[in-house]
Amino acid sequence: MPAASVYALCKGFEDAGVEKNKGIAITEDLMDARSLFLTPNSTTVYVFFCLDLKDGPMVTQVPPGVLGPVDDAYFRYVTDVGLIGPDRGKGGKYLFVPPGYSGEVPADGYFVTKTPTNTNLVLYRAFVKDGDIAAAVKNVRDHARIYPLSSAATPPDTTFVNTSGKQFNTIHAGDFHFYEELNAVIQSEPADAFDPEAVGLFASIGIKKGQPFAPDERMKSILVDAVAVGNATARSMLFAPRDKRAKFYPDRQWNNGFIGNSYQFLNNGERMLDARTMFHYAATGITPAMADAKPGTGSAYAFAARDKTGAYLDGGKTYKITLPAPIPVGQFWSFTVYDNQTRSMLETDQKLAGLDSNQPGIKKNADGSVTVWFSPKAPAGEEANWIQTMPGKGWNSLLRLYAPLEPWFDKTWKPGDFELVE
Amino acid sequence: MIRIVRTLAFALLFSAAGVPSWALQPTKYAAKVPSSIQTPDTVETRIGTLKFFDGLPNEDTVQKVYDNIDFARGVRNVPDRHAGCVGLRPVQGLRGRRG
Repeated sequence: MPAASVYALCKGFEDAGVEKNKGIAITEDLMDARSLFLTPNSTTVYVFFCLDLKDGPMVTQVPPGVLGPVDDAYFRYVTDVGLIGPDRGKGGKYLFVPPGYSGEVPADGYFVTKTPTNTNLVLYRAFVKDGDIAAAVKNVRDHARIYPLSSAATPPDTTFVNTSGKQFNTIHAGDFHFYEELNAVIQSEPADAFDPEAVGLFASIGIKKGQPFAPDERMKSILVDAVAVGNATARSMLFAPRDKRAKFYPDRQWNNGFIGNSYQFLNNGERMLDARTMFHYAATGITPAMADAKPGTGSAYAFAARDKTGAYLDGGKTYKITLPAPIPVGQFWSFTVYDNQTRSMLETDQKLAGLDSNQPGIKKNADGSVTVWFSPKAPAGEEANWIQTMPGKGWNSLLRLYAPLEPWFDKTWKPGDFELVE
Repeated sequence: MIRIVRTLAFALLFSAAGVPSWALQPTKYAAKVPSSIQTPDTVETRIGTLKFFDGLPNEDTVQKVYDNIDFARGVRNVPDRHAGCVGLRPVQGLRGRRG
């Protein structure tokens, strides 16, 4: 699934007109539900593109003041860029060197990064300061570049594609096409790019480097059945996890997407398979920073698909939730609602598919706490604290805390649960 | 009225194709969702009928797929790990770990 997910992202960017090794996608007017992405936010400017190192190393110029990871074709962490990357937020030139490359690598001027796969996903956020989205966009356009090392002396222009509001899909398939996505990854990477055990498993169903993936009728019907069960399994691991550590609190429905806070999903030598599935079925972007935030930096994420009683959230009903004061954030908090089918933003009439504490007019309760309402229509008087949901559809939500503070980490602060309002 | 008729037409069109009608409920921020990333409400498989509401597995389906993945992993561990078990002791011995 991690491999299919990176493939679907890169394919989606190309569909949106972002040419590989030439183009950079940027959400100049933020992200909304029209673009299909796994659990994005609607508050930061995203920059994303894929590098293909098949023809040699690629230079990536990173603007100052951004933050995000570079992951390989199997969604394995390669490096961070920006604030917690080697440029430390000053920006700079990164050189991505493909597997098996024996040519010369410049001695200085670059943060040289070797990666195990040809395809690499670069996904960073350009933070919006004081609501000035245009300034964040300009910073990216002024400084972000990609070009081959071989043409570093006279770099070709980088094309920027504004994907805000564009209808395109970056989410991997849940039907037979999933295997075709996986096959495309295997064909475009070196034979030894992945763990031999995994490569053996791919080969066992006919996905082999250098050979066409052409299952016979018997195998095809088995795989059609297998992907249906596999898809149902991934959905169960996300929406009904068995691991007790999934819950942040024993008496709340909020789940941790990064069980064990390990970006490699490792625990005492064990690869936590279900935890890895849970993450990759719902999200993108692997970095130690996201898996294991520290007080006052980065962001914390909590996921819920159920109300206080444990029932799945229903888009036709009215719920309220209260965040007790003081909400432990150095920057801001947000709720975003997502579609259970796509795990992308819920399609509604609200551009934000959610609410964040930077929005004007949010009402506070007398004790400083904030109550947010989720329903098809705004309850009277609660318009500024209301997030739209859709009758006939479920939904789930991510609560994000930007620059979370100590009470989040020591769990002395607890968000409420979604409470059904009759 | 046109909107209702259109929604109905879509509903009929797509219920025939197996994609639920709500998929095309018109909203201001609507996506073009490929059917390959959606899960139908009912899926027939060798482990039984799997049921979903808008992509959410019901309790019975959750139980079925967990029973299945436990079984599948149990099976896979036998032929794939047999050689590994044989090789484990000498390697651990070389590394000076407790066998």
